[in-house]
Amino acid sequence: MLLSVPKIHTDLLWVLTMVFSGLGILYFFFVFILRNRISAKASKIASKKKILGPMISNFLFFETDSSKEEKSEYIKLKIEIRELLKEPFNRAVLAEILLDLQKDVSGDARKRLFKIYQDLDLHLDAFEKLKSWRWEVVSKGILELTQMQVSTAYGFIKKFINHKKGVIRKQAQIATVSLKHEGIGYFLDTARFQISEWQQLKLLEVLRNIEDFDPPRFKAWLTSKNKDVVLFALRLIKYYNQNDADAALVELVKHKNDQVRSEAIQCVKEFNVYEALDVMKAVFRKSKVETKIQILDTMASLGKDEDLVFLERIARKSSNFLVKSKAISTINEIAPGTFLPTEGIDKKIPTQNFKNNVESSSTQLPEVMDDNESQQEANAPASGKNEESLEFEDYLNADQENEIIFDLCFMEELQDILDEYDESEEEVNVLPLDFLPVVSEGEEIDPDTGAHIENEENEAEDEEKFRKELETILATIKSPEEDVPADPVETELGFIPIVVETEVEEQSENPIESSDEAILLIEVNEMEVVEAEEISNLYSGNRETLIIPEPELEGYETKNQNSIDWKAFTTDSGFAFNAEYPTTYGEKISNEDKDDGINENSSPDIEFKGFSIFQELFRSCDTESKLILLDEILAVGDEKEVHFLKTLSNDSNKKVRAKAEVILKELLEVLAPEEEIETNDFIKDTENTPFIEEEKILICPEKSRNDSDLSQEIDTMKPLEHCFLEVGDHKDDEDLLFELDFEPVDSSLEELQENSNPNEAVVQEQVKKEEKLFDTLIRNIKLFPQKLKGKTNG
Amino acid sequence: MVRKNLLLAEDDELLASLLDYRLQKGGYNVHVAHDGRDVKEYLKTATPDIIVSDIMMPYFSGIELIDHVRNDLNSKIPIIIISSAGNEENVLSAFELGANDFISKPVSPSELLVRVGRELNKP
Repeated sequence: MLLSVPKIHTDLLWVLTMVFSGLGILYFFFVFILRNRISAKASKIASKKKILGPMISNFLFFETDSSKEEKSEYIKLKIEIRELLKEPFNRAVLAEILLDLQKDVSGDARKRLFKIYQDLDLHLDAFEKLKSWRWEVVSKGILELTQMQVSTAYGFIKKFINHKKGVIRKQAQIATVSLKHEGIGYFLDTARFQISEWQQLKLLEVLRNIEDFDPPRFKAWLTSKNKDVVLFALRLIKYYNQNDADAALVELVKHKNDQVRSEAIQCVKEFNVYEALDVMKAVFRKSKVETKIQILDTMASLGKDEDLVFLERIARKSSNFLVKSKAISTINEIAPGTFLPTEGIDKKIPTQNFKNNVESSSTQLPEVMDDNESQQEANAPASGKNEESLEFEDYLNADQENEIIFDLCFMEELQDILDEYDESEEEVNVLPLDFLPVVSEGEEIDPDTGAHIENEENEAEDEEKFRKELETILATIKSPEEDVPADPVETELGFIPIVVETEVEEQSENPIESSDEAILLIEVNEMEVVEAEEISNLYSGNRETLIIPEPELEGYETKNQNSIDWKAFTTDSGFAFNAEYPTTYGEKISNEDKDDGINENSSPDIEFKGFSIFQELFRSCDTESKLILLDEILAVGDEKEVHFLKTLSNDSNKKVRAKAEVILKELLEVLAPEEEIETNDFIKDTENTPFIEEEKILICPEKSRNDSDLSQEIDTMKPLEHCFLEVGDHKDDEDLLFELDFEPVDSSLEELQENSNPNEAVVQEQVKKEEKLFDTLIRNIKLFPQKLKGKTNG
Repeated sequence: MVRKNLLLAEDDELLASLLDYRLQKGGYNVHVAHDGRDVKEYLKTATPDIIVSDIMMPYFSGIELIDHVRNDLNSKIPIIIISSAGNEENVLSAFELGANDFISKPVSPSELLVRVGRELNKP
């Protein structure tokens, strides 16, 4: 069946077309008319504004002390404007001008604007608007009165606070609060409608901008039946820090409304209301997640130990992840470290400091295991998981195993050395390893991959351990002749030919640290020995790769190529000794003999000459910078810089050397009152005392000399740095092991000693014995790493 | 005493007339420009002793004005910027380009007068 098109009468179509076309034309006509009317009005307003604007400016900036002409002009303007204001349109335009201007101007001009507005009775028009039946007109009238600060409108506007129309109500609330200081109170008292968050923010903004505003005690409105008033009052309490509402806050924590409760909890936290803790615990279960987190957050800052039970229960039982994690963090806030991380933690690694374990591992391996297990067990309940005790094999990984084996071997080897030492029945007072510029690699080598493994964590522990082991050795080695325990410093360095320095600074108690500093000073003197870090690694690095390299001691070598003048070495390394301390060990003994075995100076104070900060700066700067730094030394330097300047007097750079000497002189003059003694001693040290001559001889031992021309030799002696520079060949790393020789280094010195000491033969014999003994000891130590490698490799 | 020329670039006519009146009363010959094009045209024919300009203007903003004066005209005329509050980025840009001073809206005409005087009296 075919569909037939309905027949439409053509005339009807034409009629409809005409109607719709007419409507369209009418619409566009009205739009055109309306637009023209609006634009005409706008242009009229603009032109009026152009007329009224300058008049307003004239009114605004009129000053009473103006000239007569200005005053007469002002009066004319006033009359003119009065005439203009008879027209409502002009009044509206003028009000608009003033409303616009009050936004753009501030200060005195703004106050004048408000005054003009009321003087011209423009506020009366605004009052009329309040009577309008159109809500937008009323709202506009309220806004106008508010913006122009017409305080007399307060009584009229406050009636609109509970207006059924939201726009009028909100406008009236803002007007009430801004027009008078007591407006906020009236508003909070009478507000019956909801106060939106935005409205609260606007009201707060208004309050903030009121000058000299004295806020009322907002706790009075915490009892309001309007929950929004309570909420706003809580926020105002918090904003104005009114902490006198503790009891009400505690009650409000129990409020059924979560928003009020949340705000009350915030206030509790803000004002540290401890009384609210129990209430918070009570309401916790019924609260929303956000409120629960807030309660936990508050408890984190206010909570005590007795709250931990409650919190642990929440942490254990809460199904919500956020609440649970917040509870855990709260517990950790109250009792730090209660909960430790459990996720992604390698539980095979013992938590306890491994240092203690290693120390006791040589004899008490089972204890190590127990300790770690107990630590693991202690952590297990905290993590809330029942973890099985770990077997020793589970967590003792390959690295730790190697370390324990290493310690066992190390102790065993040290014991062997000590045994040999005892068998030799020699007497040595010291094991003076501290000063040795010993280096070990700072990284462990993985036995499997051969890769370097960072071992920074154990560095400090290893250093401590190594120190203890050395102390054990030192304690074992005792001199039978020493009835009275010698001063530790003397004990360590007594065998060394000692250089005397009058100035005595603080005694370093830690020999290893002394050694470190000594080596650092060697570095400063451009001896390419070892980096300070490498030195520290000696005590912390892998024992398997322990290397005891021979320092580059060229220049300190005596006539015997394999012997080292330790006196010169230690002197230039920064060691300083008591001036009255004997120069050599033999001399010391002779002194003791002279004093019938009682030597008052038998405990010399071994000291550094003080580390000048400029030494470090000098290392990495050019000549000009050095010269500038030298000037600064004079300005800020003290006795520490004296020694440094002395070393600079041997600097390779002529300019630096010359300037250093000048600065040294000037600095000594500046320090003269304080350093008189030191300076005198320095002069004595460098010019008069025989042991200094000896020192200089030792520095350049290749020179032949005799007693008569000692002073001449001192003059011709090369600076220490030159000695280093001249010696070119460096031994291979494999040969970097000490070869020490403590034989007398100079025949003239022996002669001197012979002349001065009748017991010289005995003394020399003792010295030689000690030196041989020390040689043996050092050789054993140098072979130790090789033996150790052999042992650790199985 | 010679009155110094001041170019006031402000698109708000009311505010411009108010400031114009105050500045003239303060002893300056004020030329008011309501947009950037006016400013450019004026600068082609005259060199003011100081420019007071709003940052936000039609056709040619205050920032562009500073750039034009400093870079195109190579002039060191003191420039005081008027900016509405919360427009710190523009103010910083203005200072980077060479603005001498800044005053924020709402403007205190008396304060502006003091700032203008201070800029002109700088050595």
